[in-house]
Amino acid sequence: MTDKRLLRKFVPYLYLLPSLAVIVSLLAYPLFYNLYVSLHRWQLSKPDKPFIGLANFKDILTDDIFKHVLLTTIIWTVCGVILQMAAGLLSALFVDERRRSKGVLRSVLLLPWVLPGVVTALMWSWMLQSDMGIVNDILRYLHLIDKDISWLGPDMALGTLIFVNTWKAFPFWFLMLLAALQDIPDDQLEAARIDGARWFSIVRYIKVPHLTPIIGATGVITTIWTLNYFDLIWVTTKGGPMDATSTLPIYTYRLAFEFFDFGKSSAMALISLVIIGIICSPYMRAMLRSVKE
Amino acid sequence: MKAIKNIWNTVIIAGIMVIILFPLYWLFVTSVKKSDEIFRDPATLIPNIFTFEHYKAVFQGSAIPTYFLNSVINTAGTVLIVLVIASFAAYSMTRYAFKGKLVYFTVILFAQIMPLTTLIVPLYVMWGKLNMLNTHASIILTNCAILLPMAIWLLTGYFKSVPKDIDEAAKIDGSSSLGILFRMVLPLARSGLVAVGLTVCITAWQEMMIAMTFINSDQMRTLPAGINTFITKSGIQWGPLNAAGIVTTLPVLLVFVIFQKALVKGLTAGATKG
Repeated sequence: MTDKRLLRKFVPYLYLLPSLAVIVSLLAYPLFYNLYVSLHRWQLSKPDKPFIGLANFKDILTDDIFKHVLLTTIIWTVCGVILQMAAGLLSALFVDERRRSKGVLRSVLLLPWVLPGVVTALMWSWMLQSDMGIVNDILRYLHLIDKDISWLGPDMALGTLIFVNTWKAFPFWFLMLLAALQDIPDDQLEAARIDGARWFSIVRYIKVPHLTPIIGATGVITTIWTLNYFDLIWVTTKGGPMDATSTLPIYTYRLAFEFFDFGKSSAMALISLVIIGIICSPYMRAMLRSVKE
Repeated sequence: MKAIKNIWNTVIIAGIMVIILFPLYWLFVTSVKKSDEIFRDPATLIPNIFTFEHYKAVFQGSAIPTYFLNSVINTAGTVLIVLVIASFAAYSMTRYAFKGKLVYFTVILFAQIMPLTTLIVPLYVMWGKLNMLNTHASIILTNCAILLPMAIWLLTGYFKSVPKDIDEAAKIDGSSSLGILFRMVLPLARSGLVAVGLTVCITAWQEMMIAMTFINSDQMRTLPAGINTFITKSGIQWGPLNAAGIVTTLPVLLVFVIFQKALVKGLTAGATKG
């Protein structure tokens, strides 16, 4: 009997064991190993890997390229998330009010989100080719431009990729906000309409306040996703031309697998982690509080 | 007034359709044009001649079929392992009280914000030391590690919504703890399981950074990492490239069409509960 009771005490841990094994060996251990690497001069070309303390971090933080990468990342993330939110909100508000076309519109609007990132990247780089891309063709046909635009050139690349990423990522916002909109009790909207409230006031005073918590949560998730997003930029520009689209994950990856400086790359990755941690900490604290209750 | 509003709405719907569907149409249409027509100026919106020569090039003249098979193996392996392990973990989290639960939750939460770049270098060194670069296992296990925290987090939410009196009743009937999980909780949390499985499937299918770093043999490469086989030094073969893009998209599109309802329901569960 006592054996059985003792065993029962271990049951919850037994269920957790497989996940703990994965988390410890493939997430926690690598994270500490990353810290270890970041404290060494660890370059693939050199056999000895001396301990150099925080020198990698110091090198990065005093390097001008880091300031450039950080600024690019901020523009990429902030503009990206705002555009995704705006597109998601407008389309959700619009689709929510449709009756017959609602189902079709929802399916269609989710497509970019399902489309593999690599395919999105190749598809758009084909359409955005400056000499034979369809986008320039259409714009020229409409007489909106008279000279081909080099969409992925140094001046335009960041803006272009922010647009493409918005195209790919806004459906998630759309889906979340649409679900929340459908959750608003009909009688509230009905009452407002009877009182003669205009469309804009209904949106402003009933719908948006109802959406606020979802906007917050979705904002945090999409900020992490956008900041970390690698595939689109890598396939289209690899961070170029002239580092115009070098965001933190792109530059960190290039440090490791193009310049083979594992030490510096690891340090850069940890800096990214700290930045993301700071962005997420209020949200994480709120989540933990809700779990405790 | 009403008529004007209707026209406006139709215009907006048409606009949305064009912005979303035209790129996909262009991807498809380029893949079925003859090579010289692809580069014609002005471009033809509807191909003069339909051809499947690029698909033939993809399936018979390239390594894409191998990549495809590898992607299927890696994705299926990832989905299976993640769902099993996450189900056990979520079951423990929602059905038992134990010491360290909050610590475990904090770890799961933190793990979800870890950028992949913090893992790629140490895991590359680690798999190298274990002689496991260029294996399915290295890709599957790494994918599992990245997706598991999210899966546990979401499944915990779904399992919580399965009423506990059901397993109390089963317990009285003499069901074992494992029996309750497999016969009661999992079937009742089916839509959540499907949603998590689909999210894992879609994410694993398009994973690129891990595959292009840990794999350098043609035998083991996956679709997202190998599709640039048509981007060569002598130029880009746009026809086969677009065809390969379609081939990469079709499986996820199929899965999406079949399971769309469950996916939408699962993903938005959090958005409608509060």
